[in-house]
Amino acid sequence: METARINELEQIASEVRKDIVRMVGVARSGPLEFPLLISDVLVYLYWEEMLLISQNPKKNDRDRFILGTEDGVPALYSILARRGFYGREELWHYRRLGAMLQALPDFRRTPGIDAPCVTSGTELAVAASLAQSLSMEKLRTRVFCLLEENDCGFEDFFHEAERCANKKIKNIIVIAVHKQRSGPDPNGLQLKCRDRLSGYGWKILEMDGSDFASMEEVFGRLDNDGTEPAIIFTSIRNGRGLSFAENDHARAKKGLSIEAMDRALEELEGKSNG
Amino acid sequence: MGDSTKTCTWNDFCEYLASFAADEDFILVAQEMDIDLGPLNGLPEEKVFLSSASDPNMILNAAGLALNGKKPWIAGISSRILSRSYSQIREALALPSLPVRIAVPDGGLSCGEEGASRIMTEDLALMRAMPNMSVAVPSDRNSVRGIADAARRSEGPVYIRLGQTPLSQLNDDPEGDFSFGGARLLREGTSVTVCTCGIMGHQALKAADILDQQGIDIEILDFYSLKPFPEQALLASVRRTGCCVAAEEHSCIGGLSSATAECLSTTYPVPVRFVAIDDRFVHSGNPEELREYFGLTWKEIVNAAAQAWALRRR
Repeated sequence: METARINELEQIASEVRKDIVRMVGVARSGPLEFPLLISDVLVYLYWEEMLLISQNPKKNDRDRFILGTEDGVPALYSILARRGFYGREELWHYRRLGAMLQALPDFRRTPGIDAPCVTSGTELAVAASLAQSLSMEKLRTRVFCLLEENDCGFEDFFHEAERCANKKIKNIIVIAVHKQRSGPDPNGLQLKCRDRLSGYGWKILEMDGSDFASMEEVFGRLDNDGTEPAIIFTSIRNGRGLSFAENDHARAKKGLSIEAMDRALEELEGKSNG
Repeated sequence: MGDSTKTCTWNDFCEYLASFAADEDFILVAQEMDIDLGPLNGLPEEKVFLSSASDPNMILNAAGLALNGKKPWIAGISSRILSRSYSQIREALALPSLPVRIAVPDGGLSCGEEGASRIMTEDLALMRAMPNMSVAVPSDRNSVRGIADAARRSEGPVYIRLGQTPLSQLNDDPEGDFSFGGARLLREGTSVTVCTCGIMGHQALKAADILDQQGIDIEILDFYSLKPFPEQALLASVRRTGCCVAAEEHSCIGGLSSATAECLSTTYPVPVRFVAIDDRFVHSGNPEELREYFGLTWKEIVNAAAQAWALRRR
């Protein structure tokens, strides 16, 4: 990827992050840390990787994106607005009564939302059956599913992962995001998960979710003619979020005061300029 | 009463479902070796989606299929689907109002031998309270077919409670309308309105003969559509009779009894009596014995109707 393109994507991601801070700030509620962390990954997917047309969000052969964690919702909203699925002004009504952008995406009302976001369970099962159903129609559509890495440790996840491999669902790409805050791999979860998934026959990849060149390299390695589903373990460098949000998860979950929002925007402005 | 051949609603359902499996958007979602699917076992491979051994995943799989334009039918054990996967049903099916139909083969006490943990006497309450969910309880082969047709046309999620108890036909009208929000008149009468669903319609017809001898002429309505609840059908009957009995093979909380009381108390208050299972877990046992033990027979309907009639609004 050329440096100019990387700079361009970084600029978009920076604007996306500022919109996230503004929408969570204006709403006075909503998750902040995780959306900021996954902004780069979503920018890469929506600007470089996925086949989609914002003017025709229901086009049948589009790639699908399924967000498997409610904590990431503001990032997806911000991305969809900037990608042209709806106006940015919608962001300032996030979580308000009657607004299109509800706390959890309203799949029927919000353009660009491909699936309901389920808070209790692994979205892998939704993504897998959707991918399987699409491939049975001979469509080359891919289904991207972003999960928190912690959600990949449950038996329900492994049951579905095994089924995916047995059915050779090759058009599913799981992006398992690891929060650096909890350390490199505190419970050995990633290791356990990798072992089991590769035992089932999954393609295991790893990328830096804050480095566009790394993302390009990893997505380039996804072989369209392969028969196995793929999972990309994604780590995010510290510093992609806000200093106070990264260190105070509880506070970040409560939303932002006006002062904190100003401070956050200043911090993000500083990062994007420097 | 109609055809005396007895069949269970689950078998009727499987047989009828197989007849329209050729629909483009049809797909059956089930788990391998989980339940007896009868004629559905012979469906072509592309019409059956076998989920992994996880009940929540089965619900989520159906949601994924619905997102691609399918109209999945889920077949699974009620206790596992409803209790283990309640939040998935709520968030992945009901909240986005996806056209997924859930059919359970073990409704009420019909699999009584399985014991308290497997017998869901609160399934209708759970599903009724869930926004966007339609709830239906067939009581014979005709209603199974009519309800399956209505569910086939539905654009939202539907819960259909079926059973293993052999039942005869309640009437001879195979072309009857079983749209959601309707009720079927099983017997005209003037003294007491008896609301039933599932097997209790059969018990109510037995009770009618006994009550007739006492000069109490009951009107029996089969509330196959528990939600949307057919309020007008209930009110039209109760305005004539002035009293009501609700009989169901379910907890007295949240099912037909509650729906009846909610409707009447706000619109046309009359004395109401319930024939239902008390707020308690059931025991394991033969379904017929359990129905006797928990008071779900024609005898309780006779008593309740006599009490309601004595207190009727004049």
